[in-house]
Amino acid sequence: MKLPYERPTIRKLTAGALNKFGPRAGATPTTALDGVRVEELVARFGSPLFVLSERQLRRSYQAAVRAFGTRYPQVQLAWSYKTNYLNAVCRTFHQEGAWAEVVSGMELEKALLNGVPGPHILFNGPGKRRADLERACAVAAVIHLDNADELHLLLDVAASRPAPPRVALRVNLDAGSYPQWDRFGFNLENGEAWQALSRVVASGRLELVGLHCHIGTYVLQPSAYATAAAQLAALALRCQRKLKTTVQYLDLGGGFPSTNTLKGAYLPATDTVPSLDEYAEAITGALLAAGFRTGELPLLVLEAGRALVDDAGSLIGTVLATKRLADGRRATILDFGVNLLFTSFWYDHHISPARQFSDQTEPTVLYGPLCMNIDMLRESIALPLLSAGDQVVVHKVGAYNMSQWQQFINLRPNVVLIDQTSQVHLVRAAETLEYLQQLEQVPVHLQS
Amino acid sequence: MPTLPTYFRTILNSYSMLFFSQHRGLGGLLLLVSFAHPLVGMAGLASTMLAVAGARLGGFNREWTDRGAYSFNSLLTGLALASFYAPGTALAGLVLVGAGVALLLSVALGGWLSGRGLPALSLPFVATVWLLMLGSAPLLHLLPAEANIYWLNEAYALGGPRLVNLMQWVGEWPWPPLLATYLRALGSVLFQDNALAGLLVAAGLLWHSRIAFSLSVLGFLGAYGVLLLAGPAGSGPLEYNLGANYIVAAVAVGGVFVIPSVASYGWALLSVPVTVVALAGITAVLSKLGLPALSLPYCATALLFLYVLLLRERPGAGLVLTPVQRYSPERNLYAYATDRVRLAHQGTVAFTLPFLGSWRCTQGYASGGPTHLGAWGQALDFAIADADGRTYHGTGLALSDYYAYNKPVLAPADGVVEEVVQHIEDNNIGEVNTRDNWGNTVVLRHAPGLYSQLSHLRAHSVPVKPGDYVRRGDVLGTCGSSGRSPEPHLHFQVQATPYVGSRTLAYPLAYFMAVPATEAGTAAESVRQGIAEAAELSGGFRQAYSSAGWAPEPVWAAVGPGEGGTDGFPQLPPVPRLHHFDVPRQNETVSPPTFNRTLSQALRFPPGYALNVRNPDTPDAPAQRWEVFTDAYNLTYLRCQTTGAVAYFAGDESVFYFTAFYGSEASWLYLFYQAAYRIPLVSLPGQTTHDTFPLSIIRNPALSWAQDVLAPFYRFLKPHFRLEWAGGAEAAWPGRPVRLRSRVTVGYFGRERTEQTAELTFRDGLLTELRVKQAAREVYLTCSIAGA
Repeated sequence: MKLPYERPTIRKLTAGALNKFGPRAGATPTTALDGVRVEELVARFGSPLFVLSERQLRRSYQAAVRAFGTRYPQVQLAWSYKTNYLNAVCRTFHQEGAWAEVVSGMELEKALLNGVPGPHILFNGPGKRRADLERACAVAAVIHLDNADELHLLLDVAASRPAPPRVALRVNLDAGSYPQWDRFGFNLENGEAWQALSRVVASGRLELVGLHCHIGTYVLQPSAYATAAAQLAALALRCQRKLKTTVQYLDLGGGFPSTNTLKGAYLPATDTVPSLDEYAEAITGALLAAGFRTGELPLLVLEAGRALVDDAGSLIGTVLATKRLADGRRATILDFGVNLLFTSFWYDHHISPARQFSDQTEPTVLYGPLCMNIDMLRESIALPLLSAGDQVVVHKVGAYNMSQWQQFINLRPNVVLIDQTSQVHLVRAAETLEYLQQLEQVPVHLQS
Repeated sequence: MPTLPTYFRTILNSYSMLFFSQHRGLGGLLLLVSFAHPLVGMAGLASTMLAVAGARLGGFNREWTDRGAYSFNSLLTGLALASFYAPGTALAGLVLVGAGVALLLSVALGGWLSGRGLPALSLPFVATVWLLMLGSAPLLHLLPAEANIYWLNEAYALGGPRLVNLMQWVGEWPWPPLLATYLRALGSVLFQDNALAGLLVAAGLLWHSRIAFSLSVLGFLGAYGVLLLAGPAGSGPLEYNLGANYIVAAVAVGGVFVIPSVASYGWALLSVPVTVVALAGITAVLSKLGLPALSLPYCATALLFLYVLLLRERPGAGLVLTPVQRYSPERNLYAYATDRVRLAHQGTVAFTLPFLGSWRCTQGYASGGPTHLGAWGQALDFAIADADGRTYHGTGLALSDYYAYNKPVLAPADGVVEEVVQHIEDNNIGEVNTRDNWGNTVVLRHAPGLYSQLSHLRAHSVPVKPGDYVRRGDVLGTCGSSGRSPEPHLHFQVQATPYVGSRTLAYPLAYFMAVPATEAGTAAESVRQGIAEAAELSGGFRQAYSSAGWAPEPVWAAVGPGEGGTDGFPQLPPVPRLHHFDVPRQNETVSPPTFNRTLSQALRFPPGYALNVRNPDTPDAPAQRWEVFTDAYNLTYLRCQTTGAVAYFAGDESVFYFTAFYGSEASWLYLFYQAAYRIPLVSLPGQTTHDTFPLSIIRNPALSWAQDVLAPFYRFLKPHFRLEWAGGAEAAWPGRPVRLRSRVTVGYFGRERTEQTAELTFRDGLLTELRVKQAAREVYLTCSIAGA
């Protein structure tokens, strides 16, 4: 067999520290996703291409339910809409039983269109307008109050409602993690939260059903969640005791990390990030020990997003060119950049070649196709000797990329879902110029 | 105010009680027939009224009083005395005394015999009449009655020549002799000697109960057959006034005190020769004293036949003594037939799954599995498995890779910790410790002779110690892999002895949710339904009421098909179904149910709780008040204070169900009884709950009469209850209204007819609305908590 040609490379020889596992032997290629060959996917749907694994979506959801559900009697996941807007993804989770967590009027409508009953929608977010609140009340969604102005606005809206809207209070507290997130909700330590709770209950126009706390994102200490859960539980018990109001659920928010490595981390996330089971153990342990009477434990709600979807998304891209930079480093230009892989601002994404190469690798900078200096995907990554036309697969890109992607310089590509029987479904077609210009209007004097 | 109507109702009940009935139609007919001799009828009525009044004033058991159980002997005494003696003040005095003595004896004998589980029957009547006959002879000089002989005179006085003609015409009607004897025998229960009276009584009996009627014919024909064998027919003991003994004995033994069945009909037939002999013997003895045998032979036979049944050490399934007397052989039979299945588990200790979340049953009862063998076969193994069937993530080489490892293990029921072993180290994956076979174990005592054992716990994970009292759901430790356990799993068994490793006891779990092993096909579903249906026949505890439905509707109904390119949901997550008193099967994925708080609160019905029920269409009408009571056996029931109707209910955390209904079927409570016959207190959107009604709910007279006749042998009508969630998934929210839709259907010969549909609305922990639609009417009711 004729071996494939690989371009020559020159590397500085570094002895490096001795490694008892021996030298790493090249990069493991990813030739197929869920049983479908990458080549075939590119041939059918072009490049770049987002690929979602329905199997992984369901497995991740089930794993989260299992982690919490086998430790606590009542657990409900609420799919955080902003993590991935694709209806196919949302509906997969809803089929598995997830509620919806939305943060804007648009997301609220989206959840409703996906068939989520109003009472199963948790309306978070710091920026709710009057119309959003009215709509939320009309569909009986649960409104998570973020600030006092919103509370007053809602009280105003509630005055004209036949039934009191159901609300939960967003609480921020010192859970021992740094930095402390204090911009969402009412602060617990300075008494703001209790004041707001008293106001909600005393108004008689709102039905308090839950307490919410989101201590941050990509929080690496399970103990922080334990602290938050314990404090939230104490607040719920205080509500019961002093305000004679039973809090039906405690929402511990999301923020569970995925196994994507943060930029600047010393070790890969797969080695350092605690498993979801550790978070579950911390949270449920704190709640079970909080002093609720048996049978009166509140429902535990989790607004997982990243932990559910990140692993299920992959991005296939193609090498457009390779070049050598002035300082001698290798640079590889791909057909996707930060416009599609927004999360590359935070993560050192794991990227594999899509075919077998020799064991030789070289460090390279990965650039996207944007004519912008910021468009750098990886500052340095060891990849085989890629040439123009080779495909690469970026792993764990399911979270945030398909909602924060930009239509900038390039149009957004196809998104496909591979179902559990390895059938490929196009779930979002590539954008066209026509689509882009659909909403534009050219003033008459510019039309000639 | 209701004193007077109940008083007259009690009098009618006393008449129908002659045939162990509470049927007012029969009572009325008997009253009418007794007035064929107006004087006799008046004496009977007078002594009944006296006895009822006496029983009420005397403060005897009100329930028995109202049923006429204390007064029917006085009735018989009055009838008998007036039939035997000529009218006059002396007779009036005798009737007065007789009514009183019969009442006293009814109470005394009834109290004495009921302590032995036996009825007094008409023994008080026999004793009273004897006493008065013997006692009055020296004191009073009573002339024998002539009315029986010159009864046409009385008829003439009553209804003129026309009535005389009618009665002569009936009397001379060429009845077949056998039929005439049967009818006269029936009439003789009321001391009447004519076929017309018998005909009316027979009609009343048939109206009251087809089974009782068929038994009366059986008893009569049996006696005829016996006497035919014994000698020339029609002579001696088959005289009309004694023939009643065979009939009533057969009815009592075959249909009233024993649940009607093929065996009970045989038992009734068997009683006939005994009655024949008893009758002959007793008559022979008594004739020397100048006393009539009256109904003594029947009482003797019936008591003998019942008492021996009562003394059986192992009562079979054939001859079952009526557990709760409903005063109708049909009702007794239908209630028993459904209760035998529905209430089979009342009084058992309610075990629940000893863990949280979804676990897979990796080894079921006697499934031929690797370790649950022989006398140790009735045990369950659980582990947590993912959708791929794997019990671990990663490589599965470390204990912590296993989903089940270190997960909390809970007490399956309230109990006392009997034994704790927790020093045995967990095995490495793939290794077993056969020396300490059970590994770390907790044994709980739930009741004398009822223990549960949880094994293979993680070392040093048990927070309880022997002697601790634990409640269901308390953490007993965490799942580990100690003992004979190659990978982390939980072993659960129920046993009769307190030792670690005792032999196992088959014992169902009170409730759990389950997803069958092979979710894909409807085949598995139909198998389960088949099992549920066959349960009534098999009688094992597998019957349960799996809330197995038909094709489940997707919970997220709005998520339309076609989205994925294929039709329907080929990969829809499986819908778990609620099981009651069932045992998880191998490879089923089981989880504890999540209860719906609205339903739990609304249907808890603590004693003293009361609902005011109104029909908003007639806002002026006073509300009916349904109140919760408990009876002497601590059984709970709802009583409608307006109609007096009573609906018994039961249930546990997972289900509410009615067990029995007594009273007017026109009452609103009856609508509720049918509409809420069985309600799982678990959110089950898209699922259907099934149950079976007793056959007594059937309203179509033609169908139900046909069924009644055949009922002891074969029941072809299938009254069925279905319940499904009407509201969407949001109903699962605490505090949200829950709407349920129920349907009562009757199936026969492959057809099904809807009898009633109902919609129940629960809001804020309260039943608020009930809409019932029947063929002829539609009722809309609203409920509110009755103020204290």
